Amino acid sequence: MSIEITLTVNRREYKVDVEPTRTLLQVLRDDLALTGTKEGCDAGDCGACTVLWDGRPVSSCLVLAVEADGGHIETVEGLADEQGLHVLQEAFLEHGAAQCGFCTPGMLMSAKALLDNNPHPSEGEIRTALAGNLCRCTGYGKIVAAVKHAAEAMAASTITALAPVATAGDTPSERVVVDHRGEAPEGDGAHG
Amino acid sequence: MLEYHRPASVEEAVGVLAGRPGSVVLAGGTDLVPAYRAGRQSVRGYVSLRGIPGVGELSVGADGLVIRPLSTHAAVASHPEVWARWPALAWACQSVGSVQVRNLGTVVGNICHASPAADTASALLTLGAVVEARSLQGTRDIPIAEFFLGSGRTVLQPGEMVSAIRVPPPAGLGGGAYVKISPRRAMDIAVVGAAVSLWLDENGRCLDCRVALASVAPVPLLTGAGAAVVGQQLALPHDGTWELVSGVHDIFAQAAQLATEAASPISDVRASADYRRAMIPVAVRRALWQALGRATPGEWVIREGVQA
Repeated sequence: MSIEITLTVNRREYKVDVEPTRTLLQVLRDDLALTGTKEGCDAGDCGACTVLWDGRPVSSCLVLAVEADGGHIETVEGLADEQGLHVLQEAFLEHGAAQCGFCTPGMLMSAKALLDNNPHPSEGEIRTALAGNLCRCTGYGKIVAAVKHAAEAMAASTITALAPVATAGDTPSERVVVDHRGEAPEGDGAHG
Repeated sequence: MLEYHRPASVEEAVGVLAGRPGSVVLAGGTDLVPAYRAGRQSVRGYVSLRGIPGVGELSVGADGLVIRPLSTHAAVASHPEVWARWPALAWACQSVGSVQVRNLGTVVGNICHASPAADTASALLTLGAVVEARSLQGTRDIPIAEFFLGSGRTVLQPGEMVSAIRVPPPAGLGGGAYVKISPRRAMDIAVVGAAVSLWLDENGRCLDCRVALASVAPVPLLTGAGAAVVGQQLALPHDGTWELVSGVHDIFAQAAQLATEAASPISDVRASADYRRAMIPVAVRRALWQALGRATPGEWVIREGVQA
């Protein structure tokens, strides 16, 4: 029983025939060749397969691909653009927030979802947001520092964009959302 | 060949359940999908809920809270009214898994999976929730205290699905808590969970108090421990805030003792029965104090000699 579904992945639309047994993770990796999303435990415990489904972080190994029909998916491949790496990716590089790197795509997607909804997270909020992403190498300190740094960099660029009325946007609910990547330090492409 | 159905209404969904025995309702999938893929659960077909309009909505009103089949833990735990009026449930939903799991997993799925460790089940037990079950034969209401039969077993019949969970409005100045004891703070299952909901009158006397436990019996367990608290003076109004009265410590200790006596913990991979038995009064006391704090907001006035 094969079912045709439509997925918008990183703003690009795909039509795929899938069996109802297959997970979103399998379809992303095996059908769409988007292997940035990693398979760790394949049981919803480790967070390596985290992607954003309609803006919310989910474990893609727990989602049947047919369930995501019509949905918008963001994966780690969608973070960088022609202007360079995402602020979070730059911050992870700068802080050495990866060792083996296997958990990194999931960490980045959880962190992106956090900052999309909460531009000024406390350390506790960062740790809660990343609590479903297991890293067996780093001890998490550098990852948390990188996310904090990225939040500050994004806030700085937002205030620049809003000047001279930046003070009006001090609370997250009032903040005007701008594309922070336009204001971020340019990536040199060497890491892409 | 695994089937996949996407009905457009609950009526249609129960029609599929009746006509295709062995079909199962697929809600968040956080338990079912890995269980099927690991060969632990046989499934003839999935009955998806995602084609049913409004199936993930929460309704909050004078009649209370209505949780629908696709209402996620994240949706419940991000609703300010739930934090204000049913805090035990908000804390329980917030303690499930991780962000990724809470964005998928549902409260209805959590109770239908019927794990004795289900975080939301004990909270719903303290809140007197009613489970609405739907089949081709009609709709019936099941008090949640009668819903669980054993580990993984509920009173749901073949062809039935839960179409809503209704939680009544608070019965006074309400406070609630869910305290989960587990080695990790996230992505872990309760070694012991304690849910408390209590309600006070405006003079600080306890109108009602319920204590339920996770992971200490074959089912999520509503204990009679609240009886030690009901009718007791727990606080006194004091210049817009609250004064703690003496004896609360002993009342809560007695409730914790009653809860421990109601439990029948076992030893398993997560903890020994002895450890669980030792942790039940700890979790219950903490939950009672947190619940009292939430029912009496502001700084407590504590006179000399009163033990908090």
